[in-house]
Amino acid sequence: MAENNKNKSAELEEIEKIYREKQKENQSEKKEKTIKVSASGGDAPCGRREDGKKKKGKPSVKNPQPDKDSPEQKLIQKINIGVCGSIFAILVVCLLVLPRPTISESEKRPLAKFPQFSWGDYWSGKFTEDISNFFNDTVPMRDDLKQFGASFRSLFGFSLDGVTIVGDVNKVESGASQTEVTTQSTKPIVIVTPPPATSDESAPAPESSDSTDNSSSGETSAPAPEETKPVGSFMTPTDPNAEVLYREGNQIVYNSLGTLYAGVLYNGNRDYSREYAAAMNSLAAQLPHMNIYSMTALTQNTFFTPVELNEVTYSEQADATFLKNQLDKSIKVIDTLNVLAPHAGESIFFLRDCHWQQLGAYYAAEELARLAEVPFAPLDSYRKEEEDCLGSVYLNTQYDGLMYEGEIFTYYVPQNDYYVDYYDADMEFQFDYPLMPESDYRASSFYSLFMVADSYIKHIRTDVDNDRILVVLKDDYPSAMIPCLTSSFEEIYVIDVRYCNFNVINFCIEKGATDVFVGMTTESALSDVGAYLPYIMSI
Amino acid sequence: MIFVDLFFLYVFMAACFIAYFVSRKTVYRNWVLIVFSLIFYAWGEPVWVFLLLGSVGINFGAGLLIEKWRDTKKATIAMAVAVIFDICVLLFFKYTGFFVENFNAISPVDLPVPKIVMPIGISFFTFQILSYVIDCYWGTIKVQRSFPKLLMYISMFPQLVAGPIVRYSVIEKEIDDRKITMSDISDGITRICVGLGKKVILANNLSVIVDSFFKNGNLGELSVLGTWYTVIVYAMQVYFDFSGYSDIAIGIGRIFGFHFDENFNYPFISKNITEFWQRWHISLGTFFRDYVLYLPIFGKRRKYLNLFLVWFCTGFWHGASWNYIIWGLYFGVFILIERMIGAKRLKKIPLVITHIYSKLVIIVGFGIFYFVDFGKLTTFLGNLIGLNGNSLTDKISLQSMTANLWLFIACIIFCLPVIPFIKKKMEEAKLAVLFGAGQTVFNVAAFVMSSILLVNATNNPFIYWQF
Repeated sequence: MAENNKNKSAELEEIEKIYREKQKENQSEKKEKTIKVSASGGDAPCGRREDGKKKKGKPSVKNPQPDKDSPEQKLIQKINIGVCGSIFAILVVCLLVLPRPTISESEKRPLAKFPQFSWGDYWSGKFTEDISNFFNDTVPMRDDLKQFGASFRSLFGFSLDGVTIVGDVNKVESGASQTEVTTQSTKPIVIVTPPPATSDESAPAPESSDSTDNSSSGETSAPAPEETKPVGSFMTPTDPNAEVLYREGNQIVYNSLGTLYAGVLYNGNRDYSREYAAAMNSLAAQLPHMNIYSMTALTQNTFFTPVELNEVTYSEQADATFLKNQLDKSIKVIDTLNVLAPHAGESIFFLRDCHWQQLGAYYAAEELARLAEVPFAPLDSYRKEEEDCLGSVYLNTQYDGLMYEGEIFTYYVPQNDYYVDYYDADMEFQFDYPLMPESDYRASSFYSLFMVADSYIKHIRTDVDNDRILVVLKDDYPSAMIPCLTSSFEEIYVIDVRYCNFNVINFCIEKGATDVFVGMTTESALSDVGAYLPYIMSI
Repeated sequence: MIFVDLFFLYVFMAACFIAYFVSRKTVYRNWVLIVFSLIFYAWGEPVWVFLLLGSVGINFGAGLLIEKWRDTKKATIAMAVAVIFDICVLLFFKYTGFFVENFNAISPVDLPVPKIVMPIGISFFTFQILSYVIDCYWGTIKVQRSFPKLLMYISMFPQLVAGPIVRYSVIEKEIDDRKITMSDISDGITRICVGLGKKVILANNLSVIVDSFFKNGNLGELSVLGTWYTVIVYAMQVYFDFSGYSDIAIGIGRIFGFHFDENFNYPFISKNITEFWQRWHISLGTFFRDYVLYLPIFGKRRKYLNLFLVWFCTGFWHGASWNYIIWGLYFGVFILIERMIGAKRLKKIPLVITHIYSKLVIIVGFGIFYFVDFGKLTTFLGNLIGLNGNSLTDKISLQSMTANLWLFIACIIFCLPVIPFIKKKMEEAKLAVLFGAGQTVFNVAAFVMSSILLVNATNNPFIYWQF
């Protein structure tokens, strides 16, 4: 019986063996039909017909044997391996050995640091991710390589519009062209210089005549507007023939009245206004013995961009007024419409960058000094410098029509004595460095001339002796104002609200601040940037 | 970690190649691959390494049991348990949220939608492991008795997170015995450079165009031409994105001595949809063909219902969203129609017509693939034929076309088998060395340029990563 079973089992094994061999044969047949690995063009070669059969004459061997390669093919392979392998090895060595940058001038930010190990970070994947970020972010010569990459991208095609524009308005200087815009306009920009104000408190509320202004009439909860000096009537430019040449998100390049402009369309969101206003009012309430200033700055959107291009419900100007009306009366407001409108014919904005020229910032700083009742250095006491620059819109969009449209960046270096220390977001000392490091100037990152990078907290000690200590809470826009305030305050702390890891209320008290200035663009105030303000007040 | 990353290229890959080629024996090389593959997977998701190990362990055990109980019911049970486990893991991580959302939509209850983090590449490695255990059961492969070797097969980093779905049978022999030839290394280098170029130079820059019109732009105001233009660009983006990744995977595999099957075969030259799917994501198509198409679940109606099951699964595999299911079934319908017409009759149709038909279906299909939001999908479909009152053309689209003209020409060249054609002609003209030299120059240029473009790349998506 046992032997019988044994025989049966042996028989079964034999059958199984035959079955597996059959399967194996089938499998190898199947493999024969698989697509041959290609080496030349990426995809498989078209060696397989639609019906699955192979073309005649094509070898069906899946793994090509070296012996079958001709000497010619072997030579080609050796060259390929030798050249590619050597270049790969050189690049590996370069990337591992060459010094890595710590600051990006083009992006105005410190670059990633090698992360510190912790088990928590490791298990969350943050540690390894940060290592990759560090490696990718701090590539040697990164800014040059980025520039090269951008130039390469510009070869992808050509711009029909760029061809017609270049030549007409090549190298238009900022400011000067604003006059040109006014004179060439079919519907000229009307800028009526306000009559001299008698006093801050006696003037009536500003009236916006912005054609798209839906204003705050429907917003009943807003407090009564603060009284400021009259601005006269200001009309946002209009140009029905304005032509959008390129757009990427809100970054826009357009041709208006024969001038090429580039900027960022205003996109503030009123939903953020209560949060921002509440934070400002809370700041004033918690620091009752300090002077609190607010500036929600207007940009080119108000002064340059034709209303026809704007897509928002409320204009920048209307939103700034709406926001201002919600602030406590104890907060002193720097109204940039009032401040800048009288200087609209001067070079106060760039034509193809989203920032203001330092001259515009100077007038805003002058207004701050006036409200603070501190001294302020006249413009002729500064050393004036001019440099070529390339607007941020070009860097972001790579729109080739802008490549040859340089601008002049005019900046003013204060001549008094001051010292600047740079700290990180935790207020750990990093280094001392000039306030305006001119030796590091680059056309592609010109705005970083003002205090290197937003992510650093700066402590400026000046030669002014008036016991006035200013804390500035800002986005990047007011950076150009800071050098103009070195003649006004004894000490200045500059904090970008996006890069602060401590409670600013405690900080102001601890540092004995006498004045707190909160400044950013209206769009920043009405966006998640503004929402940082309540956060850093409650950390 | 992803392939198109400077850290991967210049640190991880370099270290792996050095360790691999310093190790002389296959057994050591296998260990090098296992260690580097687990580091690769753990780089972004350390926790999920345990899921991967557990999954391989269970299927390894199932394989052994199938072998032990071969041709008995127990073997079927072992296979079924492993398959159900694999599918449940996939369903849990990838589709739980989708199921709960849909249950909430059709029922009065409002269950909280769980936010489950999906382990990267789970769709790919689950399918690989499924193919292993089923092939074990069918007896078409030998059961792997070494856990590390099976782990190496599943976790091998070139194909771990975004395919191609490599069948065990494809590399079964090469796990124990593989020879790395000069030809392998040279071809591998070329594939890596070509893949990088496709992904970084072509796909990434095409994605900027797609984002500016479909994602950031106002879709409702996009012109008819602009909509067609953007969806064509998107189709090319997906192709270069995914086929570039496959090229890199196949290339790295070649350098290690493995010969993975091709995943793409110039899909845009297809004359009909059936052919398109024989050329597009081949490893997925063959997986469903071999493991789902012939499942005996629909009885006599199997021929057609199984076809729809395959296309439902194909769509659903791509993502937990209805638009993917519609996308899959959309292709299923055309393939069914083509089957009903018959291959012989299809061949009789003039080539111009078949090409126009296939391109229209493929391109509209990519639109369905893109828009997860049904509102936007409807707007997109309306835009294609001007139903939304949109203009025929617009300046920004025209500007974008001219601004990327050379990029498109490069894309068209790489979409068509132009390079193999040139290679063939040059070889016939005894100019193979010249072609080889040109290939080397191209490789260096593509690799260096891709590296430069990866410096601080803020736009480096990988579409099939999410699947």
